[in-house]
Amino acid sequence: MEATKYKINWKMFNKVLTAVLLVVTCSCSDSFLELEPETFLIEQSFFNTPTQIEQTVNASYRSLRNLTDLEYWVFLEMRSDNTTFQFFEADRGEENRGLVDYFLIDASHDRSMGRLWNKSYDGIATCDIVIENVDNIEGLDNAKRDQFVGEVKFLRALYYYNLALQFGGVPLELSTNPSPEEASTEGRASRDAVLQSVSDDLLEAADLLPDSYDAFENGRATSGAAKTLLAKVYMMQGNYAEALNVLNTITGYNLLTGSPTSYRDVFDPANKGNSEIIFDVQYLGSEEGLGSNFMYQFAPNNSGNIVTGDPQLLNLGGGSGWNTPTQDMMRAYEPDLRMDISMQPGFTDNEGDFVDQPYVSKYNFGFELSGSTNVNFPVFRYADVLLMRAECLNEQGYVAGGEAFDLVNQIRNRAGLADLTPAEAPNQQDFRDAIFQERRVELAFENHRWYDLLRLGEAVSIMNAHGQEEIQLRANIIPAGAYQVTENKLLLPIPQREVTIDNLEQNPQ
Amino acid sequence: MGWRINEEWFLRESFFDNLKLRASYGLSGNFNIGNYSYIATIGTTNYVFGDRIANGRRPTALGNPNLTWEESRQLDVGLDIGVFDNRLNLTIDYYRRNTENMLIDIPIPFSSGFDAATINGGEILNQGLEIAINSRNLVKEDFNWTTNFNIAFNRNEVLALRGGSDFILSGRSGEGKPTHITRVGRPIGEFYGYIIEGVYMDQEDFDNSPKHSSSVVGSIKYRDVNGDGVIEAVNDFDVIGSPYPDFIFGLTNTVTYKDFDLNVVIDGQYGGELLIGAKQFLDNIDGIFNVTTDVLNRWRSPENPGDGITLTTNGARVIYRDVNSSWVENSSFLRFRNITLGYSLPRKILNQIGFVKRARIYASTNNILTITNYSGGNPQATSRFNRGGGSLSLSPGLDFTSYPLAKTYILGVNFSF
Repeated sequence: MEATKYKINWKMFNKVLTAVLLVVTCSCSDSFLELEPETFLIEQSFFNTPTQIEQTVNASYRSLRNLTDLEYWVFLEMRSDNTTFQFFEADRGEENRGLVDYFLIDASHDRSMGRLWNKSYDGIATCDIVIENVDNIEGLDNAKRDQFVGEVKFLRALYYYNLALQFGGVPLELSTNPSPEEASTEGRASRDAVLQSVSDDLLEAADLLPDSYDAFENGRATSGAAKTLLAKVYMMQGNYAEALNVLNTITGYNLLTGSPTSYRDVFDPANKGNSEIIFDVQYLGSEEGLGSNFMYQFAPNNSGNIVTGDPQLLNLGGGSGWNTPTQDMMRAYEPDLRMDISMQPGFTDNEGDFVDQPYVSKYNFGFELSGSTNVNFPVFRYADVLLMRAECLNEQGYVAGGEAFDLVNQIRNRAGLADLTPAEAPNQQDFRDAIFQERRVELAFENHRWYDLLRLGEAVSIMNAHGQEEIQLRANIIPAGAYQVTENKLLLPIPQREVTIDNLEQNPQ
Repeated sequence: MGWRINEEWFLRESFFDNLKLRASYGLSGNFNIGNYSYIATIGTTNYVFGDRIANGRRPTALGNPNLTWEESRQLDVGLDIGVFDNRLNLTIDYYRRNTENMLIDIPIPFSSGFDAATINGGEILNQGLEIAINSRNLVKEDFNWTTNFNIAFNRNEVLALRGGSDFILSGRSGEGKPTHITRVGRPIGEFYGYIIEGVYMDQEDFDNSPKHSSSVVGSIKYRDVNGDGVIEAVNDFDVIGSPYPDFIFGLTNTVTYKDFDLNVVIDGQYGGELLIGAKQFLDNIDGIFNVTTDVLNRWRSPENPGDGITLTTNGARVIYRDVNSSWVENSSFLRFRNITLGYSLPRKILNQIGFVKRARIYASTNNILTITNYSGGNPQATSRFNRGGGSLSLSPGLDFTSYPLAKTYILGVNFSF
């Protein structure tokens, strides 16, 4: 009896063992072998929920802030006739920026020019990730999905627009790289192809994006932002009719008027999200690492804390004295109410002596933390749109005292200036010059001037004339060969690293 | 696989006590890949909306789903020889290792949104000869002297690189430029930078020499490697050194005489160079760094040109911060790594104490003397981190402010109970 029982148990055991083995074999799938890390997030387990995709959308704005902090004003203001820099013998750490100002930048200057390239593609890659994943998110409602796609298409367009105008044709990366082997590009797309992709993205974004957001979402891209950039692309391509069509659909904004300080109110962080702002780069001064510091970078480096009022930063040094207004810029003001708000001709030192060192004061509204201000940086505002409309109208045909004059005069009147009369601008060319002059002072130090010079088509002659003046003013520090501006110099060289690694064609210099 | 040749009939009566030929051949994988390095990780990049923090997240690296193990094929051949009653032993080893799918970090175009990625990227040949001699010079009842000597010659050569490219630039200087180059047919990670030719001594020299856009009279003069008349980073970089020594060696002598024992360990290397990363600060006359006293001999005017290689404080700041030949120094050295002198109390005295089996007092010193021309803290410094991120395998031999070796002196007493 006992022996039999023992025997049966063995049979049972075999059956159980077989069953167990079967179960074990079946459960050894790939997911059993491929464990996911528990202590950090990875791509495969991200991009699943609406919150996660929203966080990636937010991250795609981040490069815009990096570029606005350090790069855009170097290439859009300092490179133009608006600003230069204060030579600082004791710290030549950012010599690269000076070389941009002098038109001496070469392909190997990674510090400034490389960052312009890298940060732009950083942002583009993040946008691409959103576009590729947004349709696989469970529980994401359609309105949000459209908004997210619209936001990143607008941002991607903005990054590419700047790349195309600075470098000419660049590699067009509209999808992500699944592995390093596929990271090499097919080379530079043409400038036209890049701008075509920009306007494609913007047309879609203008369609998908809302006109405005609830206050807590202020700062996200709107359809107005997409339309403004789209109009800029058309104008750069000489397509003024199409640009005007787009500009006429930008509604819901107005100029801040009513007081002599209305112009300053546009930039005041107390008025964030005001009705003149179409799109601006967001900063939060009270949060370490999220504040802006334009006030510090643009203050004279010998002004101690007189300009900034920040008692903890007595020595500004080499991080300051950048983007300083040129003599030429100062003469451009008629003068008007805007001049004192946008810039100061110098400061009074502790001994009571006036120090003749112009600086940009447009972004000086005090600080939240030491070195951290709450000021947003304007990208597009309604005054720009009004002047763009005036320009498009004039390009389609000069009309003495027509709508275009009205538009320009709205801007002039707020600045405390009298109307521009047809007698002062009696033909298309004179009125064109008057519009660009108005743009220069109205939008001073807001990163518009370089592209305006390109669009006006007189960048070479204006910059050479400007360079002659600079060389006379600062002969002791300006190196030989500075400001010899040719058509070729209007495009930056492609960063040498990319030429080498990605086998890109270099721009002629 | 081994063959004891001395046990063959034809050598049975020879003067070899031991003669053995060894050979082995093996295939192995190196799975020393960081955990999960094949997948992209997600990092935090916050933004602001409506005056409040908006959480942002995005991948911080490009994953590589195809990442796999390195594979090595290794051949070892060795010869063991023992003569004079095995008092003299000689071991000679030769190895030859072919590594395929080597894991390397390569720079990738920034247009991908990332700057580097880990791939299975190349084929490397490592080969070397290692010789060890072990000699018991004196064997007496109360006087023993043994000497161990070893020497190793190691070479590596890149046989192929992935993707058809015949070179990889790696490392990153403070200016964002590569510091190393890995080329097919050459060792991994040779130093890569400008070659200093001096300073522009006067206007005539300046006018007649290739220059950078920021150069002025008195600023640094680099070699125009590509001969286009313009000095530019990377285009005018060349190989300026190599971290690999011709050979390394070690020598240990142990002498015991009656109750005294003396142990002396010497090691060293011949050939090989280090790249002194701190030079980008120590020689940097931007105006905000503490610098070496070499700067006192800088160029001040054509009449007062200093030592001819230290530049003026004006102009060409940026290109002087990049890797250049003044950073490269020979790191050959000979070091007394350890000297220990000990005295054990005689057994007679110990027996009187009773419970102590052994008592020894000794004096020992580490690193008391290093003979080298290297100006940094330690000629054996190894790269601590890669400024560009990523692994160090392609950017060896960078001494970035590494700690000098400490000299230590020890007095000690050993008791055994």
